[in-house]
Amino acid sequence: MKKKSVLKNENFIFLIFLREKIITIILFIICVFIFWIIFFLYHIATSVALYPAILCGVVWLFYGMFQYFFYYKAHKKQLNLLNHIDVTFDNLPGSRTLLETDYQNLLKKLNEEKNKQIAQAEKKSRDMIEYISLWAHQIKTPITGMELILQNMEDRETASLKEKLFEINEYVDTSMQYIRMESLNSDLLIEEYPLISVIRQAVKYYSKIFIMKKISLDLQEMDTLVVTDEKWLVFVLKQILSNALKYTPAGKKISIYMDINFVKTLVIEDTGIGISAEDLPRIMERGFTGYNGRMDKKATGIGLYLTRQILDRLNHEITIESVSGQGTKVYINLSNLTKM
Amino acid sequence: MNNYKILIIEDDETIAGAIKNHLEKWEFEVVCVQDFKNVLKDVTEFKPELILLDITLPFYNGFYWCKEIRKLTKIPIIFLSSADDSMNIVMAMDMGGDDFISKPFDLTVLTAKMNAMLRRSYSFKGQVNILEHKGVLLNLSDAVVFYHEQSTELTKNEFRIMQLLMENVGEMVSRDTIMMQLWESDSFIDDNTLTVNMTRIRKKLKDIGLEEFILTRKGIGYLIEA
Repeated sequence: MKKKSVLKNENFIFLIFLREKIITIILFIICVFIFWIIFFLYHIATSVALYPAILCGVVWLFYGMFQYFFYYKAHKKQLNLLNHIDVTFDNLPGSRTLLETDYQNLLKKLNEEKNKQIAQAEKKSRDMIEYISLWAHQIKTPITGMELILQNMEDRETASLKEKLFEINEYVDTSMQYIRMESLNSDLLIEEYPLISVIRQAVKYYSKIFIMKKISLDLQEMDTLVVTDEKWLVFVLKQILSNALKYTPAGKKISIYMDINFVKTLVIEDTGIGISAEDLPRIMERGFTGYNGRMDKKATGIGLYLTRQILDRLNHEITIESVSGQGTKVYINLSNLTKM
Repeated sequence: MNNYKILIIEDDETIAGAIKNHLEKWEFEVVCVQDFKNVLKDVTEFKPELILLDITLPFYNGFYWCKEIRKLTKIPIIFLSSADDSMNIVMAMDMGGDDFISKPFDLTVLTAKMNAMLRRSYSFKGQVNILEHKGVLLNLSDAVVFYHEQSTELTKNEFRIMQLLMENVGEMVSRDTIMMQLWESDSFIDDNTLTVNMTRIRKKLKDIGLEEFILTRKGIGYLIEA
């Protein structure tokens, strides 16, 4: 079956070759015809013309076959090149004609130009990332300054200012993480970590919010070990906690525990406003804010998108279950099912 | 009570000033480095017992100074930095830092870490292992309270609360501050649990004959009067 199609394809190449040579063939026929006419007009036996015509025809045929052989080989080689022309430019077939050389030079020029542009774009984006990282570090200094001033002012009024400052800091941290996503693969530090210590880091980051909003935390003891990147998993847990805290009313509860039915699955359960059924399938999409997000104008739809991207790369799996008005359960399967 | 000498190497004046301000309330002796070309001079002249070190500094960075300081002395060094990626933390530890606090941080958390580190490094100074006020002794190594030859043992949380209040004698300690401290040491208690804990401490203190030792400012916090 396959062989047949290859054969067909090769016939096809031959037909194309013939079509390209059609003028040469016609010219040959015209030449033979002219000889034949002249011989005829001079009353020479026209069969005399036939003999050299056949001889010439054989020579031409050999030459044509020879040409077709190279034509065919060059064509195959170029087809092959198509697969890796983006990697290397070195094994272009040698050019035999001026026009071929011209084309190859054009290609090389385009390639050079392309590489130059890619390099430029990469440099630009590297510079940008570098600058944003620098900026994120710079902005931390005034944030810390303000935070410390507020802490030294023992005043009830400062509570809301502290909360706002905390939000600013949170945004800076998220943007940093977004930038680091770009180099996520090279930045990964995969090791075995006790899950509880990873969770504690995330929880402590939000201690202020928990305490200020009077939301209680039920963190169950666990001795689970997970193979992951600590920093990134902390970030993921922070994002999930951030959402849980944002949409859980004061005085309610957030629980963190291992699921009893599923293997190595961490559950973060809140008793907040929940997510409506029609929003649920889309909340991990970039820029999707849903009903909750539209009510809360600050939602950007970046947090959960980042969460999903990171968990994918860490080979963890996230599932979200929610009942509108009752709360949300986030399941993170931490067993690395597929190989890293 | 401590009089430990602390050197702050931080080029942002607001941050350095605020930390100094806070630490002086704790009776630490604090010096902030002014000349960032010559940090070692402050180290050798002031002879601090603990150093708070920023990473981003003019002229040389914190890693450099940490390495230089380590050539002279083994005193505890705590890094303060906004660059909290794993690389920087690993680097800080490699250069001989003892702890790493990322900015922005909480002053109570900072002091708690500093106190713990000082206690660990200079336990021979002895007196820091017991807090005393008006005849009430709190032993920091086994969480036992003594009063007039009577004693009572505190649980982990009760002990932390008691320690915090006794370290801040004469000053109101807000419920939020207490909770922040407990959260920092992995006790994620809520408002109700704090109330329960306070009631238990009071009961235990009452059992050894101490009444009205801890005063309540309703809705705000607690206070041990000077």
